[in-house]
Amino acid sequence: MNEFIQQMVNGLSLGSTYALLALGLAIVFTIFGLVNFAYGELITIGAYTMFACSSLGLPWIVQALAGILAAALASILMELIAFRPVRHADGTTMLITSFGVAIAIQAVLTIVVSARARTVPQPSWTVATLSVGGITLPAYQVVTVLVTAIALLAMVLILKRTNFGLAMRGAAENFQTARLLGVRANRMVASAFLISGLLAGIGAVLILARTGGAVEPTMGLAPVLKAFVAIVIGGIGSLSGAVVGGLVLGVAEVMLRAYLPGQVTGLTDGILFALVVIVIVARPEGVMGLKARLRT
Amino acid sequence: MLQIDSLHVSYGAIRAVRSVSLTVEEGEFVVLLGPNGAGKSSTLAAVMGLLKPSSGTVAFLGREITGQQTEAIVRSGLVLTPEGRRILATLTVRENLLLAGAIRPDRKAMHADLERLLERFPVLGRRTGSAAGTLSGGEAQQLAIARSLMARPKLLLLDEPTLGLAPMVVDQIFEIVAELVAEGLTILMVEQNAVRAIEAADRGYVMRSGEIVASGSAADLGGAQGLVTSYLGVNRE
Repeated sequence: MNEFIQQMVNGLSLGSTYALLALGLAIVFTIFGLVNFAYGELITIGAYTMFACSSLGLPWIVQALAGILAAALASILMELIAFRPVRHADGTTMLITSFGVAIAIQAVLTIVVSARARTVPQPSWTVATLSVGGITLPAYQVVTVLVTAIALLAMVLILKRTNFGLAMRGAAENFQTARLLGVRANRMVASAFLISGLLAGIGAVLILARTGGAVEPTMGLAPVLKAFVAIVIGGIGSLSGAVVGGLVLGVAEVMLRAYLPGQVTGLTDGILFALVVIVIVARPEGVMGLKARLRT
Repeated sequence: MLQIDSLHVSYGAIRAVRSVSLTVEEGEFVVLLGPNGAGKSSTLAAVMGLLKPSSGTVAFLGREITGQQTEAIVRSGLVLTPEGRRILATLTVRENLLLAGAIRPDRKAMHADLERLLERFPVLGRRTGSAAGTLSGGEAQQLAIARSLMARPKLLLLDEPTLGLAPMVVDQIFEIVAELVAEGLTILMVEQNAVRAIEAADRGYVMRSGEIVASGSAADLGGAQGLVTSYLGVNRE
């Protein structure tokens, strides 16, 4: 039982990271109509900024804040430089642009830093454990769940309680109608990218705490794929669906890895992606997508 | 107040609007009539910056607005209640109104207007917290009009406000429009229901195949029945 609870917390911790990342991907999608595959590179940029700060000997908290800010700034620049010129082009053009941006950033990091993995030393609390009622939990998992919960709560408050959030929800439902109500298109798109970048940056800090601080140019690929899977599970276009999808995916991944027979644990990702194919075939609107459709 | 000059709009090879010129003076109620596909909605979309005209100009309050961003045009006081109502279904009734009012700097007056509109449209007042997607067609149209009024428009463009509504509800919408006119709001309305529209309006323009083929008061257009047989009837050609 104790082991199951530990695995559950581990799953929720991984799942909440996925939920955070999925939300960042979903926000840009709902406002801008683009699945931004260069989103993974925002995580990479956050991580490499932490690496640069750690090389300069700056304290961890400064590294973390700099990483989050760098990801947010990179996201805004990405929109201005790469996506704004193709905003009115079709979806395929935007998608290919996002792949181009991803490859360009990976190439720059490979040339300027190295193709090999580097390490950002992590503070000691990331490897500490907490004992709660006889159950031993890694501290980073508890912190991850808490940080994600705070970030999600902040997002909910912004979306539900502010004029900006109201405009954001209106624009997410129908961008043109929102513009007819006076919502400023450029500002809305830039804000979506800003929030997306902030979430990617927070994700980068949490991922490094989980992996012991390994950074490499292609490190963004796995998280962006998982975030994409999460929004597919949750129903593409639904923000709450993205969060639910992320949690489901994280728990499923940890549970499969923990309880599958030893010979097939390597197939965890394969099984997950197969499940996603089944979801797409059986419920193209996603788990939460049906509700979203009824609302529109 | 609004001056459209030689406006052309094309969708690829299809020329939807051809050399349309029309004006709306302050305080007027003008209707734009014509059969389906005549280019009426395309004209309004081009005025609002939703479509890019291939040539021609649009001026509002004496300033050219051709090519401006839709939201900038809305913020200058030219507001469209779009065809099909375009209610934001996932937001509540109140949120739809608040979002439309968010462009105004006078927050107190904006909230007072909101309460007044909820009294004026009791169906909305009873459903402020409901998702707007649950409203019926007539209720949604009232919300669409109320939402436009939240922006305190100087000129209101109404695109097909009675489309798809039951006859009794159509009466109700015409009454609302008449009230707004009586209060002094300037309105340009596109309407399929040509006879009723021209009788209620000060003047009208008739569009056919992308061009304006006639204009003037109901009498100028040969009376309401004359209008139908001359310009809108199916047996003309």
